[in-house]
Amino acid sequence: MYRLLYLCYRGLSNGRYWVMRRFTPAGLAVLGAMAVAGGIGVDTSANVAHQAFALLLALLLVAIAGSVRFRGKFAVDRLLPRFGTVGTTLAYSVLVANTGHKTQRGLLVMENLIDPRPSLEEFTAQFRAEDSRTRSFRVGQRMRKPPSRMARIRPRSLPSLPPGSSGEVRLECLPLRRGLLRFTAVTVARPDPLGLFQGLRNLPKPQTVLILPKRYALPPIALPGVMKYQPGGVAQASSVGQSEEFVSLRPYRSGDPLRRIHWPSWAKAGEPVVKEFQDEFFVRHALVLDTFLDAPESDLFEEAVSVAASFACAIQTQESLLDLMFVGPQAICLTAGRGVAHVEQMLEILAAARPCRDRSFETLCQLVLDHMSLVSGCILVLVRWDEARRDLVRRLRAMGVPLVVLMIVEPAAKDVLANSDAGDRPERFHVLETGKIQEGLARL
Amino acid sequence: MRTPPFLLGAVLLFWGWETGFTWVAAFMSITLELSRGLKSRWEFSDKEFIQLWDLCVLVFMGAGVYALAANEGAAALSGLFSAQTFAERTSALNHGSRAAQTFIQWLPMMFFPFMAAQAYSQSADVELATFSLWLRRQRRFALKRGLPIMPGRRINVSYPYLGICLAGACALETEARSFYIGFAVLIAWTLWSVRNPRFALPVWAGCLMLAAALGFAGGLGLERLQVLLENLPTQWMSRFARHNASGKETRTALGEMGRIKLSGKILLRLEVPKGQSPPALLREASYSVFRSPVWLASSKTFGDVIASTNDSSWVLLPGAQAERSLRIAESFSDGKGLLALPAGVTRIDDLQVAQVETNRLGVTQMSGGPGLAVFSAGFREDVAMDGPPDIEDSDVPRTEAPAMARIVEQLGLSRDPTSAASRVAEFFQTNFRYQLLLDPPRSGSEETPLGRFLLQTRAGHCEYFAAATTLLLRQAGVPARYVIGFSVQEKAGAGKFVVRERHAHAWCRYYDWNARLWRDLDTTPGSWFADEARLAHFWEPLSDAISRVWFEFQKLRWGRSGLRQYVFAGLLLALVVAGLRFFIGKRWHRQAGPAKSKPISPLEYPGVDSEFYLVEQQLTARGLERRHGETLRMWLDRIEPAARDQVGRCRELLDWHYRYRFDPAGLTPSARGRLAKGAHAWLAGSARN
Repeated sequence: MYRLLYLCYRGLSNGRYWVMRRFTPAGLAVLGAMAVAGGIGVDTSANVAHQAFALLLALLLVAIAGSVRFRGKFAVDRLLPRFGTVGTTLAYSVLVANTGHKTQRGLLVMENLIDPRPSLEEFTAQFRAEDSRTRSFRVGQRMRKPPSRMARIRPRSLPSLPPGSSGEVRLECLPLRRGLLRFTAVTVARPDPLGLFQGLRNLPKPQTVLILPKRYALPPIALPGVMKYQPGGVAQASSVGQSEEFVSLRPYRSGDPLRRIHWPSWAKAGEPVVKEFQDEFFVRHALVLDTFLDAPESDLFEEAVSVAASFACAIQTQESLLDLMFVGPQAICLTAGRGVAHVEQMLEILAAARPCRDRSFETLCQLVLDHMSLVSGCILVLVRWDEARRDLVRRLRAMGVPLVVLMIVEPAAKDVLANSDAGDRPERFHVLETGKIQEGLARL
Repeated sequence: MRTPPFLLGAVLLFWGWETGFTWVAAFMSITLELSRGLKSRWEFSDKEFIQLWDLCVLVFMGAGVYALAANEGAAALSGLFSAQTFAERTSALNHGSRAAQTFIQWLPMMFFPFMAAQAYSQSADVELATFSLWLRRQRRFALKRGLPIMPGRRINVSYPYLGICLAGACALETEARSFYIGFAVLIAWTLWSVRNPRFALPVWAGCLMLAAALGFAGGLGLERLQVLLENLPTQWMSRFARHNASGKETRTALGEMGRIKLSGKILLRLEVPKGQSPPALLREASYSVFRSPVWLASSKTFGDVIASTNDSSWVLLPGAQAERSLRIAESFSDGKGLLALPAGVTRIDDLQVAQVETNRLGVTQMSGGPGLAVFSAGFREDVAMDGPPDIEDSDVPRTEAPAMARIVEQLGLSRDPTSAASRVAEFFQTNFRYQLLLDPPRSGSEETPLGRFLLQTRAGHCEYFAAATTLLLRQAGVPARYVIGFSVQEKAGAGKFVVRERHAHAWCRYYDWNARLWRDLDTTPGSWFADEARLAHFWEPLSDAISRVWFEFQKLRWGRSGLRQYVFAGLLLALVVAGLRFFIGKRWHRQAGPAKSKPISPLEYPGVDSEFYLVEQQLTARGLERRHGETLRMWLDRIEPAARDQVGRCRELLDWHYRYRFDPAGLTPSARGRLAKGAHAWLAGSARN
């Protein structure tokens, strides 16, 4: 059943892709008009719409025939930035050089991205997840998905290119999803004389841009927690051996690192003397992202990643450390701040985060609890409020870790959550509704 | 994107010429094209566009209802589902498509106000949310919750309107090839703006001509194909027909198997004067020749009823005075059909039709009438307009003769019609029962369905009884005919009766030698009323109520009071008033001044009028475009290998340009003159090359 659906989906999306790529806007209008004329003119004796239908069909056929012979030699280069952000237009240039012997005019430049469609396995998982959740026929209650397309890039026309010259086209890419945006080729398109159908010439040019998650503006937030002793000490500080607080000198004890030996004092005293430093205390926060969802694609997860990314950016990592924890293909704990790692790295990791469907929530629990002795406070970004999550929150509260829980829910599930037992909830428990995350965060 | 000048006007004229709305089209065309020349504009806000769109949609729906009503579209639609013969279905389809075509032809008029509003408004386009209730709802919701509202997509409705006009011109039945030529020219005009400049004009024109020729041949091919398909055997499309009397033949269900089901749809509504009872039977058609399972009318020709006292009275039996009367309401498709009348009808009144005809079998048909006829029939028992019997009225098919002869012998029937009729009636009443469930015919046996009915099963429905009675009387020597029509049995208020489809009935009409009169003989057991009534569905009251509303609407529509015209005139007036209020009301302020606001140039800096930009444009046109972020000097350095002599002459101009552009002191008038002169000289030289 799912296989059949998947085949239909692939067939339809193939057809749609072909039509949208091959037909110009005018060609699409002619195609639509042809369908309408065909509908009106089913009975040829009743009206003359069949004549209009025949003419429009003939125009399209001639246009298709006219687009067949498109030969030209081109070389392309794409000047891409390293990062983009979901929902923010990314402008970049494509250089097209005419390496043939004829002047090329009236051409368009289009981009080719890697096929974003899910595999059969992902498609089936998505359907199963939706089926298990859908209790009603109301469209509004169905699970919302991020668009399957990675980005939207509109074709642009190319200036006329005499032989041997090159032209630059500014393309605007609107990333629709986070992750690695893979370009495969640049396509030079030539509309037929009538301007309805395009002949295409693909010029392979694989490149990638990392699309970072969408981020929300956060109000200034006071995170809970106290400073904690960090055993790593200054090793985790921004500049090793330079900015430490010198306290005193003391005789050497076995096991002291050699670089702490104070050579002038040894020379004077005749025995090894080492420098002693003040122990380091930092504020260190854990940012925990719940990745345990059935559906490979959902708005819920995207919003959770966005909220996590917003916190990763907002926390002043000059002053404190931030541990990002989540379970992807493996349990990941990334520490940023005080020069250890940068926010960009955290966003890169988040850009690649995928829902975890093959492990249980217990994996994340273990990861979080192992780290809790070091952290001063914990921000939990959760996508569900079930027994396993409640248990984690209970254990963290028992350990005395200050908590902020951000619960991301779909609009339909908000009421259900509101009616559920409020006993296990920590003081700072915020419910954020998908589609209205920014408003929810503004109320924090 | 706005349509090229005069294209929309030309398309409107084409539509008007094709559909006959020439003057309307001329007015619309001039109105739209004038907007290009006029400088003043109306202030239309998005909200007012929405109101105007709603008005257009209202007109759209109203016109849809009117088109359906005017072309019997609704009846056709329901007829499509209840049609039982191919001819009925085709007729229903034709009506439906006629209604749709009329409607499509009107589309340009319906949406003209909106198009005109856009043409005369300050904004060149309309927000997409105007057309979508969903987007509008979302916006209202956002407003209510104080959420930020993103500006929506905007579209120019010129091209969609052009499409509507062309569709309107298509929906027309015409033999002329001028449509194709006009359509092709307009399409070529429309496509002119999107042609690829890469190709020379002759190539474009050649492609277009080729497409036009192919399209012409394709159109002819489609017409041929339809003829070919129509000539294929269409029997399979025609389902078993129950009530399909045509006046020429009727197909009975003799020998069929399974349960016969007829609907409870109300076909006739009768009204009798106070104190009178309705006739038991209403005849629709009579037949004389039996070719199992079909009854045929030997006389297929109808003769006009000439005696008409005025436009609506038809005298069927001159000289005979009616004793009783009956008011009948009956629907007709195409305004023609057989009239269901009581036996002995002498005249028909209040029937405004073009023609009423009868034949020698006493069948009355009318044509050129309304979709719903409400007329009075005067009748008396002792007369009949049926012609005298002939040889066909005594014919018993050879296959049926043995069974008939056996029964006639058993009953000892004589040629005396009265006694024969009473004995036959008694025979059926005592030995037979009514049954709707039909037995499967025995395979391999020679017996006919009628023979089996008479000798073995002794159970059947009215067609068996009527056919057997007719043939038995004929076998006994009494001329008889097979008659179909309706039985009047259901009361619907004081003096009112309804006749449903399941009340369709068949009986026999025999000739009484003594009285020289045709008399009805219905031998079907009386239990058939109850049996048929049991078939009523539980939702029948509801369907009756709907039928009543439809009947009242039909009465209004086909009535002679002119009420229909007043209703539609009233609606039209209301629309005109609403439209005037829209355009002339106080909410619209005419704004004087230039229509097109001066394009805001992003280049408001010193030296923006430097002639060097013309030089840059010229070089760009030759494919030597400047890249983003490239300074003019870097650009000249880059393109120098491709156009050495031209760039060389530019360099001095560039120095002047830089001074003009960036030097706070600017250029002296003489230096400014040199820049201008130098640039124009360069352009002139470049043009010569």
